[in-house]
Amino acid sequence: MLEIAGLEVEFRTQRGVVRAVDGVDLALEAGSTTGLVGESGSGKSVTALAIMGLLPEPAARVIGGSIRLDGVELVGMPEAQLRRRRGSEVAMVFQDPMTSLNPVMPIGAQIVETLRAHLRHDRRAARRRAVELLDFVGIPGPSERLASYPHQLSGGMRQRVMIAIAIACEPKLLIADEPTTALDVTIQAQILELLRRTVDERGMTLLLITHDLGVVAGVCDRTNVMYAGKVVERAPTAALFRAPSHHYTRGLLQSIPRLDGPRKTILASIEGLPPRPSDGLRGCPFAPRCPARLDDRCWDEMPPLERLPGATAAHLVACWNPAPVPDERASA
Amino acid sequence: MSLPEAEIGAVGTTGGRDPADVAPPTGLWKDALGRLRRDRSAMAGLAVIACFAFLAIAAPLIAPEPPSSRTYLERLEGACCPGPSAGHLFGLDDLGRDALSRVIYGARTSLLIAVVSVVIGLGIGLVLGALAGYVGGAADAVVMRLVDIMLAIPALLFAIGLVAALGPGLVQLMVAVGVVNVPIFARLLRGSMLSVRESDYVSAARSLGLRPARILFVHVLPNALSPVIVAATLAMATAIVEVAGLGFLGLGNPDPSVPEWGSMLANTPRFLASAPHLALFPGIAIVLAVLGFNLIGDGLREALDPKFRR
Amino acid sequence: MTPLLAVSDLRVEYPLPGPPGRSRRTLVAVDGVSFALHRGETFGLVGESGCGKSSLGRAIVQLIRGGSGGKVTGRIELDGTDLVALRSGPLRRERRRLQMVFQDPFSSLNPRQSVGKILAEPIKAHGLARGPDLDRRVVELLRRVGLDEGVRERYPHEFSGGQRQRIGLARALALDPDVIVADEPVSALDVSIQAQILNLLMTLQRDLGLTILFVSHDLSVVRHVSDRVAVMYLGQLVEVAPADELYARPLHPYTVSLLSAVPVADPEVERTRTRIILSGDVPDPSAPPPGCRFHTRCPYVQPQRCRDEVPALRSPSAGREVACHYAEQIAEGRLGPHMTSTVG
Repeated sequence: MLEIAGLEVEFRTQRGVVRAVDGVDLALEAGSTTGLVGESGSGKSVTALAIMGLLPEPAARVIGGSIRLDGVELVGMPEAQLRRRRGSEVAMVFQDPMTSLNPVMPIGAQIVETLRAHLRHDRRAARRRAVELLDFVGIPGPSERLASYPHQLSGGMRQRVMIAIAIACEPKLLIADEPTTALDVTIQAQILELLRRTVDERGMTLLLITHDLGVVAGVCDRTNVMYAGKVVERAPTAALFRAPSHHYTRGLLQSIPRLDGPRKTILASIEGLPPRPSDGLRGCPFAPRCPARLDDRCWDEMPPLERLPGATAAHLVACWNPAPVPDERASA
Repeated sequence: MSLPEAEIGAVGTTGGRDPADVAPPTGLWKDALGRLRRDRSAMAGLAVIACFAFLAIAAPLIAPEPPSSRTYLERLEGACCPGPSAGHLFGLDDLGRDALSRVIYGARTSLLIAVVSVVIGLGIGLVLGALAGYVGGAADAVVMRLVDIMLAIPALLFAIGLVAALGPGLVQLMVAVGVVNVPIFARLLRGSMLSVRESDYVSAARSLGLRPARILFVHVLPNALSPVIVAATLAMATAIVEVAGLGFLGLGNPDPSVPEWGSMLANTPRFLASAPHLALFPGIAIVLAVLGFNLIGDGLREALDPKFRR
Repeated sequence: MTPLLAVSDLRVEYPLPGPPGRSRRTLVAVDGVSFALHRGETFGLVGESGCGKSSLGRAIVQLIRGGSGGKVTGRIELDGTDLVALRSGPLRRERRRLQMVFQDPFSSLNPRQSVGKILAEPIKAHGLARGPDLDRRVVELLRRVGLDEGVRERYPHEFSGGQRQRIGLARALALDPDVIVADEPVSALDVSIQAQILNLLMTLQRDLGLTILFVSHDLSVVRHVSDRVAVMYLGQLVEVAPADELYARPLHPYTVSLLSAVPVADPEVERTRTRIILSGDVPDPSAPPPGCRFHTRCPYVQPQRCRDEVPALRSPSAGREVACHYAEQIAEGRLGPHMTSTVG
């Protein structure tokens, strides 16, 4: 229901023009949960902002590609029409609940605001719905809580309020941008559980953006890995973790200490530094750090995102020298 | 000590492109200067102030006439006041003095007062602010109450009061305007120091066992000064306006041979209909000077803002 | 074997805003913590926000020394010398032996000092070297952390987060410390850089015989680098154990919930694991619950005792400590949880 093709987003900075998103394709099926994984500078958050039409203008612009929500093209849509869709068809949950909730408005008012803007509820109906929503997201004593201010709530509760605001108008697509990064791990578990429940019970489509591979492993059906503004690997989550093919994905998975892995060993790290969007390399952006780099091809040409030979049809990778799928039949 | 090959890779070099290879090292001041140079409005402001500075320094050479002389009165031939003409670009004032020359000489006074008064204000204000911000405790409480009292009095009234107390004169004027600035700088520096003091690099300096004086002068102050520098530049603008105000009220420098833009405006209400040029040119000079300082101040604020987070 | 660092009954409190004087409220960030660091070990300290682990780390490095910065009571003994009682000269000398690596690479280096100056400053200040000898030491420090000697003239803002952490590490090593307190050293870094810095830390520890107190909220990272691990909750230690035992057989209910909440980068594991999802939020650290501080969220909470009696940190078996009245019963399966949620 969401189709992104060849998306390109440019930022104008003091040092020149920077391409934050460089040819990204995404396709989300209705009701699915998809992960978008990457580190800082990968362009994952910018992609989310582009979908919402929230890019900071005039510094940032979509300069190419298309974003179609249920067939309707969002790129180039006038602001008034975008505004109608924001909240009612696609909604976003941001990373830091402290700064994404208005500190001078009671939380009840913030929920009511969006209800009345899109669904034209009258005040009483909106309040009732707000209480229902707060109850759904697990805030104890919801009717009393309507009058609370954000600073009176803990981080976890604020994030629940954010989710309540986001789902208030029953959007078809929910984008969660690092929703648990600022939270403690026990609260993170609660919030992820809430997101899962919300999406399952209401049939929403979820796009989860994060740098945490553990979170993706637990929540998403499909995962996209982004690097330097491009999608470098995409697969059903199970396949991605079982047989990662792009060397960035492999490096990432090997370098994370796991609770069930060996201890006190030297971790297999990816050498070098994460790319800066201003680098503008010609070939594959991961080439400088790739242990499997083919010296001429990888520097000169960007590999296309294609089916990985020997893997399921849904497993795509953008690499001239991808790691082959391990032959499982041999171990049987 | 040599690490086995695998470990060197694992420990991680910067691998490939090293940002430190690309450009020559730049300290934060140099970097700020570069950004300032690229800021066009700041450079415009700098140009304006530079012009005035030039006028101020070269006044005796540039101004067509000395600012006052007994002989000028005769030129008026009784009728006040001739407007701009070929011989006198800004016209003559009610004592027959050439307005252009007076405006040029006025630049000296105004800029001198602006700079000196801000220096006085900084001198006292920085010491108080550092005391409050670094020593804290009782010193902080005492200094801040003092600052609160001073801030409760409107600036211009404060200056008027000081001039009344100190008597007329150029030095007294500069002290008055300077002292009015003290609470602003003190509070600004204190706030800035309080936040810098909490920084990790200051904690690191403490844990390394560096002496408190060194921590203050090497780690805290240089990083706390940025907002004060901006405020100082803007304070020069307000100093000019304050001095002009005092001059307009007749509390300025009583010496008639030293023109000052504000005093030049003092007599003009009577002549506004017949000789608007008397108010126009000193007024424009004030506006331009204030604008110039403001533009530089804004530019400095942007240039000194450490926006280096990724 | 006497421990290198022995912390006894440490209490760290911060004054809360309000009228000064005896009635002023305080926040007790660390409430009666005792543990020991043995020479050459990496001791992990985990907990969530507000548990006091950062305050504990800072207190050990003597960054909390009274006034509005916080008050420390108790003993912190380094090779027998109580650091809390030291002042000026002797304190300065002992400071050399404990250093800290900070969390935020973007605020832990003075932006107006060049890297060379940052590293030379402490060495010069303690009179350890001058002139060409000083220079040599700076270059050696840079080499140890994997940086080229040419970076000495450069300024912090010219480096990436990972490189800045290396510089911070070099600075911490400048005085040849015995103990390094690493306060979330990799939490602010990109995942692909975290491994580099962790490797560096482990290598340096092995080569220089460092003793490291590794403070972090990231359980996977702590497990990987630590020999022993302590878990903190609301200012108190609730469990201490050798790393593999803590993670394989956690005794305290909080430890169990914490471990079950950590996401694992493996969809199979995530799908089949049993998660204990705690209800509610962490209580306000300035008003902790009576008795066992965890009892308000504990899935195994028992009436009366858990609320009325503060559990002491005791040793149910060699090398392990736990602060729970019912640790043995829970471990033996005689006591079950009130609420579990299986995610799948």
